[in-house]
Amino acid sequence: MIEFLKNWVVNTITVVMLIILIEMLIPSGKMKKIVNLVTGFILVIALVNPVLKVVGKEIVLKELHMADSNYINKKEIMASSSILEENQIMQITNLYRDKIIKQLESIAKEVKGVADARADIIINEDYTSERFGEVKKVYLYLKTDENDKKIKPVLSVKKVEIEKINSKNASSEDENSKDENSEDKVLTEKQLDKKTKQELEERIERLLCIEKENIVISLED
Amino acid sequence: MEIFQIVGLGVVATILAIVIKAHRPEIAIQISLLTGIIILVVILGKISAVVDLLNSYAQKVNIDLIYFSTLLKIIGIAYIAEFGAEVCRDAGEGAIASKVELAGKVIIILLAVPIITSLLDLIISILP
Repeated sequence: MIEFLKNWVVNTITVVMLIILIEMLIPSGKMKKIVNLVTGFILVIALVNPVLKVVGKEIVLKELHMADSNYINKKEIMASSSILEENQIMQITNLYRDKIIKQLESIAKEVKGVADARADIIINEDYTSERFGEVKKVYLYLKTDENDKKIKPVLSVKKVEIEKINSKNASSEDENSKDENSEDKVLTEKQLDKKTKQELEERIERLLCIEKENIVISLED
Repeated sequence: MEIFQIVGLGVVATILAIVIKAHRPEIAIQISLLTGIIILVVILGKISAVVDLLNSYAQKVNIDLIYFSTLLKIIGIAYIAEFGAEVCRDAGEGAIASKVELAGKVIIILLAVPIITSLLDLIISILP
């Protein structure tokens, strides 16, 4: 008992000394009141805690303190993170959008007959909804391989024209045939376009799970 | 004696500030700010020695060190907040100074809340 009393007295005196030193250290302003308050609380804790040990109701103040400060830190971080969250989500959606656009462009370039592609997408940016990030619409602007398509037909037409012009009567027929040829060309080009379009649409559909009506593919000049 | 250096610096800076204030008040504020920072830096080394000593004494006592470290943090915050507020007040910006003080108070309370709640817990545990 005497050991306990001795410890208690030494403890109390040391704490009081420390508090006096600290009160001398603190700047003489409006902060002094608050520091006095806190030091007073600490003194009370230092006085009461050893008595609790004797009574047998010892509580681990360290854990309580840790739990409380953890709680405060958690709340603080949550409050600041909610402000940052919106910004972060915006950044993430932008990044996601850029990645999808790059993917679409590379997919489009893989298809035969496409020289260059530019993509644009509309995504669900409402982060509160369940379908956040879903791709709503895809726009693809393609540039076809014009060199391959243009040179070949022109060459073939030239050959036909030069060899077949013998009489004036034949010229009218030739004109008709030319028209047919040009119509054919248009048709083949369109068909090719349709094929690539279909292929592209299927690929995009597989990639993004988006309906074909929401995929708009157009040719660029 | 370092006190002579500090007081000399303070007096010279004050005279300079007063002389310049008539012509260029903005330079006078900068002089006072710089002097304050220099004195604080000189003092900081000494304060850290005192704090170390206090820390070693706190370790000898049974009181939980968390409380003591919290107390030291509170003193540091009080010093910095007071310094900032005084600089603002010297420059004639009383409103900003009081805001700086408010921020200091809030942060100190934030640190002190766990101590207060643990005292509360202590009291509750005493009661049957």
